[in-house]
Amino acid sequence: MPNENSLNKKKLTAMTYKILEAEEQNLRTRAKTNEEMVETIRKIIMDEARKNY
Amino acid sequence: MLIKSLKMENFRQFKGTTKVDFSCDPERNVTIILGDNTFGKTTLLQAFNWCFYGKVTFNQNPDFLLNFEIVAEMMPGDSKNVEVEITLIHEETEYVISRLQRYTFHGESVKGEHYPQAKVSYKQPDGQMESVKDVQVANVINNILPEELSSYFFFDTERVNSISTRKDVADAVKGLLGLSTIDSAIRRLGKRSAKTTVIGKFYSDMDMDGDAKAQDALNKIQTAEEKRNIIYEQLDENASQIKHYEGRKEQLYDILRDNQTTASLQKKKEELESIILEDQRALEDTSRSYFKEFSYGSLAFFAQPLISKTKVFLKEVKVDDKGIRDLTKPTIMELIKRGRCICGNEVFEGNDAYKHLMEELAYVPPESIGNTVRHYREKINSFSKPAERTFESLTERYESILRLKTRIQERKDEVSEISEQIKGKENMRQYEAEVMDVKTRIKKLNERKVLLIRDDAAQKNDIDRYRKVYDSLLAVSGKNKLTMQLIQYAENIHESLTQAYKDKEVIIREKLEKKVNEIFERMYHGHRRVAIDQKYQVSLLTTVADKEIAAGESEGSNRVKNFAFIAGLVALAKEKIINEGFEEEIDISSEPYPLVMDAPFSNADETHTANISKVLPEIADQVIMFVMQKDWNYARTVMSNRVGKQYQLNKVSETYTKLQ
Amino acid sequence: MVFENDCTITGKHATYLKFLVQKAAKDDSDDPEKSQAPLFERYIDVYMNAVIWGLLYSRTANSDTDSADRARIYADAFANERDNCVFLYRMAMLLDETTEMTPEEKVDRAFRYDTQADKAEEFKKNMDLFNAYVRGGIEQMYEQFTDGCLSRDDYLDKTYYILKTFKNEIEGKSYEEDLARMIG
Repeated sequence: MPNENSLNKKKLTAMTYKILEAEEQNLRTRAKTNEEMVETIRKIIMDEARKNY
Repeated sequence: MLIKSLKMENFRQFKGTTKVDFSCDPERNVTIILGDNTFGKTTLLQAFNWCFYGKVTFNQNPDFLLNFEIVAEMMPGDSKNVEVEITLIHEETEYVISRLQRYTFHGESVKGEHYPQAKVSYKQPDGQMESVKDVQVANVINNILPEELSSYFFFDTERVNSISTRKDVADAVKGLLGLSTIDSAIRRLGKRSAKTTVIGKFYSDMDMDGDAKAQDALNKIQTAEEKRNIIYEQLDENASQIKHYEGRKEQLYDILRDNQTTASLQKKKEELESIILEDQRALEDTSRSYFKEFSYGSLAFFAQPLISKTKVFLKEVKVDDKGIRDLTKPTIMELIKRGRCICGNEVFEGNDAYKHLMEELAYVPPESIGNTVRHYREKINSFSKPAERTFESLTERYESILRLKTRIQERKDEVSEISEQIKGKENMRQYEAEVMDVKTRIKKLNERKVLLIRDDAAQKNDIDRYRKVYDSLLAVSGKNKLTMQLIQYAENIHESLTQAYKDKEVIIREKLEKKVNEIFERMYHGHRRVAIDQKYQVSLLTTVADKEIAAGESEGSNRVKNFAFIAGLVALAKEKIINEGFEEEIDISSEPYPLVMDAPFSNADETHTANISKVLPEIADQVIMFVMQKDWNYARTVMSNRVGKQYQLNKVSETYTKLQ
Repeated sequence: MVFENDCTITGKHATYLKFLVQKAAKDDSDDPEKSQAPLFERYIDVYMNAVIWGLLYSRTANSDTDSADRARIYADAFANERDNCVFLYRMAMLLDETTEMTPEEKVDRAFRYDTQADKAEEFKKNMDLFNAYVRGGIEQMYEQFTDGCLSRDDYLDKTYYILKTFKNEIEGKSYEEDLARMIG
């Protein structure tokens, strides 16, 4: 069960947005494969979580 | 999506280069292309289809696209191209889609290359054109306009299938209306046990410190997960089979119900036939008895008057019958010979006894016929006694025969009638057998379903069990703590996106339905309402006695329904849909779409024509219409202020059309 | 003695006689609608009935030699029905009106000639007469019973019709009413 307290709501929103943005772009260009897209999303989450600002 | 231009090179009857610029002006958003049938309207439409999807639906020579006059000019070894290029704007990006097919004069004839490829390029923000990779071309095109919906946007009135029967509309509609993004993100985020997804990958990242048990547990989880996927597929398949058979069962029940009477009539017929057989046997027996009795009793019967006559005759005639009954001459001679009479007296020649006996001789046969006559008289009295009985009995039999015959005939008539009624419907047996078969199948499928569900539960148990093992085995090291957090983020996003998707989907569908109804009402005046179900199937409803039922569809209402659906789709695609689940407004803005229509007025009456031509330009950002001259005369008055560009198809010859 | 020998019917009378007799079918199940009149079980039944019909209609007939058809009634058939045959013989002799005999003479010929040796010739004449009635009766029966009949059902109806009509007539029914109705 995700522990809501340790999760930053702002980061959550940011992550969600960026993920959807990436999906949209890819829908357009279809440049990335599924694996590539999965990796992209992973990175989005990891980067955002690591951010200190 | 807005179509900017269409360029054709030697495409069917459009010899040489033909270019059409479409009006993108928001006020005058209608482009009219005039021309009667066979002038090339359908071809223009098919050009879109071919360019986008490489498919055409021509009635003649559907595979041969090169202009015939060009073909005629070719020499062996020559090659010519057929090309269609479409420039459009989609999501603020300009795309150029082109498809080319090379035709070469090989040997005896001109042939086109197989599988002509399309190319797509798009203008980048800096103005540079960037190509889309070949493997992605089809996907990109499909995202701009899904093939499943293409026939609704390239609206071929002559050939449109009823919208409510299209099955893959659902996915296509969702895609069109912007749900694909969310859907895709959700799938890719995935879950712990799916190792190719984001969350699955995070899960795998957890540092296991070489713990074999943990690795083992993880493997087991992921294996079980895969099994579950397979089970889901099988359940799907199973479910659709069950649905199919249930459907068939209902059909059969309907047939049997309709023919319930047939089944029971058949039964009745068989019963009657067996009764008839029985009666016929009885008839046969009675007839035989009748004749037998006749043969036996006729003598006494017909002799009656003669008997009477004889009686009378004998009465009148004097017949000497003084003789002693059954006393014969031999008897008397015997007594005389014996020498003693019956009474005991001695008998010898000359005595009294002797004299009496000798006298008696005169009365016995053969001298006297008295005895004979007396005999005869007795027989006369008894001879015809049976006559009355005979007649009664024969009468009884005769009447019974008549009754049987009548009954048999009546029943035979009934059988004929029934046969007429059930003529041609006698295969109830076959349907009954099929029902049994279908029921068995359904039963088996349900049993299988139970097994699958049980198996799935088992897999789930495994997953849960190993999950616990895994989680408990993981050392909560620093690295793992971070990873855990990432998982939590990802799962949280997954959850909220899933919810958002659900909510949005419902909203979109309701909006679509509402929009479609709005448009529908403006075009059609009648008591109908459009309903869109979860699979995006469209039906017409009408209210009867406070209940809504499926309405009968006329050609008019059907056509308008289809128009309304497309128009609604288009209208909705224009609107921004705001997702309320987020703090920030996220615009999943959906695209405007044009309406490209071939002969939209051809089967509509004046009123509908006027309505349609008024409503359409208001709904779509861009309307491209192919119209016949005669139809245009009606619509022009209503529409002329919305027309941005107008073209005319000129038929130069059967093989050559010019566009001006 | 009378009715001790075989008796052979010839010509058309034989044909008629045979026609009136239901031949025992080898297989009862074939054609229940036999076109042959199934009226009588044996030849001798026809023979006996024929006497009645001949007397009823005062009809006699000569032997027919035109066709070669034959029907034979055997001595043992007569043996079974001797009583009846004798009875009928005597009746015929009593009721016959073709001679100028007195009633007493008729009684004599009916009751004596069959047993008295010295009356052999007269007896033969009697038998000739008797057989003439038989033949006449056969003709009468054939005409009346088979007229318009094709199927067994037809015979059924016909025989019953004859029975009924006969009964009515011997009971003294008058046809006036029927006639009046018919003429209308």
